This record gives sequence, C-alpha cells and structure tokens, in this order.
Amino acid sequence: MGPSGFPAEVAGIMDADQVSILEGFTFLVSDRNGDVDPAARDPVGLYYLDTRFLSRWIVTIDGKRLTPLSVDDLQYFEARFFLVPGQPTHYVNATLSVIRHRSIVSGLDEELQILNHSGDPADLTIRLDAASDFADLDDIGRPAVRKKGRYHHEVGNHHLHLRYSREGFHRATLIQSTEPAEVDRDGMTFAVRIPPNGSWATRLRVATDISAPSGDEVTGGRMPMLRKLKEGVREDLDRWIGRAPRLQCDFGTLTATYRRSLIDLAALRSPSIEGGGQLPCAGLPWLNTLIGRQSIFISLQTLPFLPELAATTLRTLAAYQGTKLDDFREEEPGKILHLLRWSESTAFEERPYARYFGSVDATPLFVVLLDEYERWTGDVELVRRLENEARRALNWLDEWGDLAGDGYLWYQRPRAPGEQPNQSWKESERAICYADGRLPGFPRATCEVQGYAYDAKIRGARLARTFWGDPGYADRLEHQAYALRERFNRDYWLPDRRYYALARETDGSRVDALASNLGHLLWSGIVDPDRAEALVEHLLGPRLFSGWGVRTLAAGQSNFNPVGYHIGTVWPYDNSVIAEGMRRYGFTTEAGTVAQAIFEAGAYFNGRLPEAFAGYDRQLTTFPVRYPTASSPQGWSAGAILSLLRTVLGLETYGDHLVVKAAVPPRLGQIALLGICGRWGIADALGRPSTTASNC
Amino acid sequence: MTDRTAEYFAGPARRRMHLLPSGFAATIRLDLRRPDRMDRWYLTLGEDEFSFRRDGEREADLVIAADGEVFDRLVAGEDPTTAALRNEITYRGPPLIMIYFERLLPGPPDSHGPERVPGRGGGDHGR
Repeated sequence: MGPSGFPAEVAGIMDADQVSILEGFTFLVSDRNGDVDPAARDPVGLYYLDTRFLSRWIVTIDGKRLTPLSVDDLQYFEARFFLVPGQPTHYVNATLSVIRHRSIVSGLDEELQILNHSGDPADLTIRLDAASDFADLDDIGRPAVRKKGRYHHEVGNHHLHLRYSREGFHRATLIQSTEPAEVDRDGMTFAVRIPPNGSWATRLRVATDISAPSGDEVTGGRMPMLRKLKEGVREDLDRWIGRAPRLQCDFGTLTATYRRSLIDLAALRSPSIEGGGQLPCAGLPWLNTLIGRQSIFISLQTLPFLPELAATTLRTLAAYQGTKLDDFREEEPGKILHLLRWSESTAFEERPYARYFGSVDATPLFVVLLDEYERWTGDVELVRRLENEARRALNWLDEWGDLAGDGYLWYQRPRAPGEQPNQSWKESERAICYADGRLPGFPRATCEVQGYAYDAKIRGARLARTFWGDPGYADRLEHQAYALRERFNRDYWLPDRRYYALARETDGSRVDALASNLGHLLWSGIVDPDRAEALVEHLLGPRLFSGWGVRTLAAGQSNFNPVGYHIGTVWPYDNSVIAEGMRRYGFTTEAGTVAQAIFEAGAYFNGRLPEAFAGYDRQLTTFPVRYPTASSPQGWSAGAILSLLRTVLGLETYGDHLVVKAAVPPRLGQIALLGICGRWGIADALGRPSTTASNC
Repeated sequence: MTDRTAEYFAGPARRRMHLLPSGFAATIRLDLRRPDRMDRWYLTLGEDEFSFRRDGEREADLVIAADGEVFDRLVAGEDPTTAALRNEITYRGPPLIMIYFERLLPGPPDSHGPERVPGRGGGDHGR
C-alpha cells in the first residue's frame, strides 16, 4: 500500500482485514468474506445501541467457508462481497460463485446469491449459522462476562427469533429469509438445486428490536420501504458532499483524503434527540455514540466546512447538561455530558453510562464552541437561546470544577469502579505522569483544561457583552480570565525545561512530563507570547515530533511507548489542535509542517486516518504504523483533515467576512477550497506555496 | 399510605422549575399504576406555570406510564434514565420533553459532589 495508488472514489469503510458498514446507531463489522466469527477475530458482529445483536453470521456451501475475491464497499452503509466456496487454491476450478450484497438500513438486509457457472445442475446445501450473545459492547475483548438474563429461541418456518431478557430489559434479533429454509436454533439450511448456468438467491433480513415482547409479531421492514430508505440515505450523502466546499490541490492524495473524511463524517452522524438534526458520533467500533469532548472537537474542526454539526452538538449537549449531583455519574449542575450508552450494564447501573459526566474539559469547550459557532455562522438566535446553559457551564468551572479553591480546574478519580482515571482527553492510567514515570495523586489539574477554561471565559465575555446585554458579567469573566492566565503562567511554567507542566497536584507539585498538551495551550491562547516559540520548538523537536506528527508523550519520558495509547502514539486530532495553536501565535510555517505530516500519513491509511497511529520515528519506519486497537473510522481524525486545511489556508472570520491568509507548505503545492459558506455568503480560498497573504 | 409522587410534585419539584429551558412549555400526563387503581396526573409546565392535577383531561405532549411504586422511587432520587432502559417506566412523545421532565426529579440523596481538597499551590490562591 503506497501513498500514490489508492482509489479516489472508494466510498465505504474497509480496513485491511475487516469490512464495516454503518448507519445511525447500527453497525456491522465482518471479515472480508462477510462472515461474523468472533473466534477468528473480535470485535465483529452486528451492533445496535451498544449491544451485539449478531455474534455469528457464517455462510457455508456444502460445509465449505467462503473465500473473498473482492469486496466493493459501495457506500458507508452498503457493501458487496464476491466470493467462492473453499480455499484459494480452488480458484481455477471454481464452478460456483457467491455474491453477498448487504446494507444497514433499519437493521441488516443481505442478499445472498449463488451462481452456477457449470453446464450441470448443482445440488447444494447452503447453510447460514447465526447466533447472538447480546453482549455489551464494553464487555467485548474482556474476560467472559456471565450474563444475568435469559436467552430464548423461537424457530419458525421462515424465521429465527433470538431473544434476551433480564427483568424488563429486552433485546431481540429476528432473522427472516424470503426463500424457504429449514430453520433450527443455530441458523437455517437451504437445500437447493441450481440449474446449469443458473442462479439462486435469498434475501435475509435481520431486525434488531429493543421493545418489550408483545403479542404483535415482530417483522422486518418491507422491501419497497427499505429500498426507499436506502435511496434516502444515498441522496442525503450526495447532498452532504454537495454542501461541503470543494477542494482542488496539487498534492494528489489530499483531495481523496478530504473526500474520504467527508464521507466518514457523514457516516458517523446519528439522529439527535434534539430538533431532528444529526449529531457527530465518535468512531467505530467502540464509540458509535455521543462523547461530549469528541462531538465538540468534530464540530470545531468542521465549522468552516459544514457548520450544521456544531448546531446540533450545541443543542444536544445543552439538553443533556447536568442539573443535579449524582456521584456515580460524576454529574454536577452545569456540567456537560461525557458519554451516553444504552447497554445492559448501563441499564442495571453496573456502568454509569446512562448519562456519564466523567470529563472536565467538555464543559469549557461547550462555551468555546458556542462562541466559535456564532463567529462562523452569525446564528445569533442559538447564542441567545443557549444563554442560560452557557452561563451554567461557566458557573460550573468555579463552583464544581475548582476543587482546590485556587482558581484552577481539577478532577478527582471517578467514583464508578473501572472508569478511566483521567477526566481530560488523555484518559488512560499512565498518560498524566512525571518525566520519571511517577503518577501524580488526585485531584489533578492538567494544563490544557486550564487553557480551555481561560478561553471559555474570554469567549463567554464576548457573548455576554455582544448578545446577552450583560456587560457587568462580561467584565467579571474577563477579569477572571486574565487572572487565570497570569496565575497559570506563573504556576505551571518550568523555567529550566522551558515548557509548562503537564499537570499540578494540590501541594503545588508540577507534573513535569513533556507532552503534546503544550499545543492545546497555544490553541487556547493562555500562553504568554514570549514563551510560544519555546513551546513550538519542543513540539517540532525530535522528542515530540516523529516526522508523521506530534507524539502524545515525548520520547525519553519514562512512560514513553510509541504504541502506547496516550503515551507516545500520534493522534491526528491532537495534531490538528496543535497546528491551529501554532498558527494562532503566528508560527505559520511550523503549523504547515504539522499539517503536511498528517496529510502524508493520511495517504498511507487510504485517506482514512485512524484514531491514533504509532509514534515511531519516520526515519525508522518509512510508513506510519497502525495502532492495533485504534478506532476507525474516527470522527475527530476525519475532522482533523478539514481542520488542517483550514490552518494552512489561514481561514478566519472577521465580522461578516472570511479572511484567508494562506501559508501552504511547498510540498503541498497549490490548494483551492471553493464554495465556503458562512455569514459572508459564499467565498473561495486559494493558497499558493510560499504565499504569505491573499484575501478574497 | 402517602403518595410520595403527589407530595413531590406538590412541593419540591417546583423548586427545580428554573432548570427548564426558557420558553419551555408542555403538558405531561403521568399514568401511575397503583395496587387498586390507576392514577392519572397532568403536569402542566410553562413560563410561570406549574400545576399538577388529576382533573382536566386533555391532550398531553408526553405520556409517561409506570408502577406508582417505581415513580415513588424516582421522586426519592433513583435514576429515571436507567429505569426507562429497564422498561420500568415507558413514555410516548418527544424524548426531549422526557429529558426536560427528568430535570424536575432529584439526584440521589447520598450524592454530595466531588471531594474538595484545599490547594497549596498558586500564590495569592495559596502557594
């Protein structure tokens, strides 16, 4: 796989060994032959609302498994597999071929077609093995969990109904075939004779059901209705791409990467409870749901391109804003949501995900997004409508976020057992560490959230003065922000290292690991301008910059591991924030270096940047190495491409105008972004290499 | 036997009215199954309006149904979202109205927020 040769128009979602299709809250991950077989690899299966509804879905012909010849991933919700029975050595003699054409639209719809290429009739036993463990998504890949509910099977003439119940919690999978089958508890068998040069086909419908059992028979959708739904999804995708600005550029793979990113962002939208909009979800397979922080960052990244995601995110997070104290869920009045799930462990309060508030960054970022949204769209109505919610979020910073009473934003270890210890984006255990590997005690005040809090107050002040008619509140917020900035620059700065501490402890200890969080500080504007250059030097120095991007933790730190989740891998989203931060402080060339590295890495992933990739030095590996369990597609990785384009083109708003101050790295050549819609109407942005300024 | 749900909506729930979004108005019907009867309540919410009454049958924006005993636990701080996931309460109508309705319910009585620790860093804020 090389950077030059991937097809520009591949629309679906396909990684090296797996094929995923999704739509809304339903997704299916299978092997490349279309089978779901957790014994071979996990996570696979059909999932809906964080529960696995199919954990086995295997087609055999006369006992032989199918081997893929090719896979067309037609759309993000649709894939077609071309297969032959048996092992690859039999290719030359294949007299049968198989086509599986599946889509996710209101459950799973799969057409199984078998073609007989010989001059003789073929008598075949076609078997579909199907099962569901109704596993909780969060339990997959962990030691086997004993399910507390009961399984039921109902075998019909054309259908198999698999059910799971625990008290009032019900999940059911209904599998139906249009062709007659011999149905048993483990699947269905078709004994067929296919005439010479003829074919046989059946349509399999899998409905996922979460309602309580009733007298009504559960049925899958009718075919004409499904076709209509499918066309609807297709048209919606075309409109989505049509609304986004068009990219033209000399750097060949970037147009394809951009298009792929737009499609992945479309795929990862889910219906919102609010206003009929579409909400950006985090990523497959682990997080096909709302994560406050990620939905906010995706919204920020996509604002200049598709501002509708930001509007839905703001309205939805406002609706879910905390209003009470709930220690298990880390809920406090004014706090912004971290995560939502609908799984069994959620329902029975074994996990806090019914509404989990275990992050301290989403709340200030919510205010940042509200202000930034207005700057791009001019949608004053929403800013006024969410005044109370924004004020409550700002109030939370002081009332509940400042646990040490010293003006910083702190977090304790979450109280629900088993949750990630850190309530900032680098959630994992060893991510917040001293250079020598020690872990600080709790509570912790990581540096980047202080930057977000500063930014939220500055932006809150603008909103209060301009739209809420409350200049007194604006003055107070600004005063607090300036005091925070001054305090932060004194308390977090490590003069001998020339960077800011990663975090602080309540005894005043500075957690001194060198990490990518420095870039977020630039992004938020909390950094003293005299110190920006030192941070940029660190970020692009050999310890943090791998050549493919900025590592989460610098090489040489005790906990550094190039394949460690938040302790050495490169995160495209992180890099998009860092690059925009460099740009904010005037380091345009350096921002371009980061953007170019990520654009180049994108080409090696067929245009689909995963959540994270390995932090090996570029000179060591000539291509970016995949991180084993990274989510892909991942919303804020796709969004990173858009954000980095914004950075190199230097897109900013100024009143009702779009300002373009492009600084395109020479290797990228010319970049043009056409049809950027916003409060200015429609505008184009053009960036030539070595151009320092061009306005449109 | 006292009806804890009725008591809650007659008193404490009003004090959470300010948590509803500005301009929010809705009529919510509660169908509560009691051992010997079905109680039907109408909760009317609006700008400066809060009423919880049994009479005045009318069209509701949201209908919530549950055992009265389940609802009595919700007004004492049990979580409504997980109760809905377990189908102990069911509702018909826009989920958004349900989310706003849940704001009127209290949090768990034993929750006090994160533990505060006096900071000793930070100059005039205590270095």
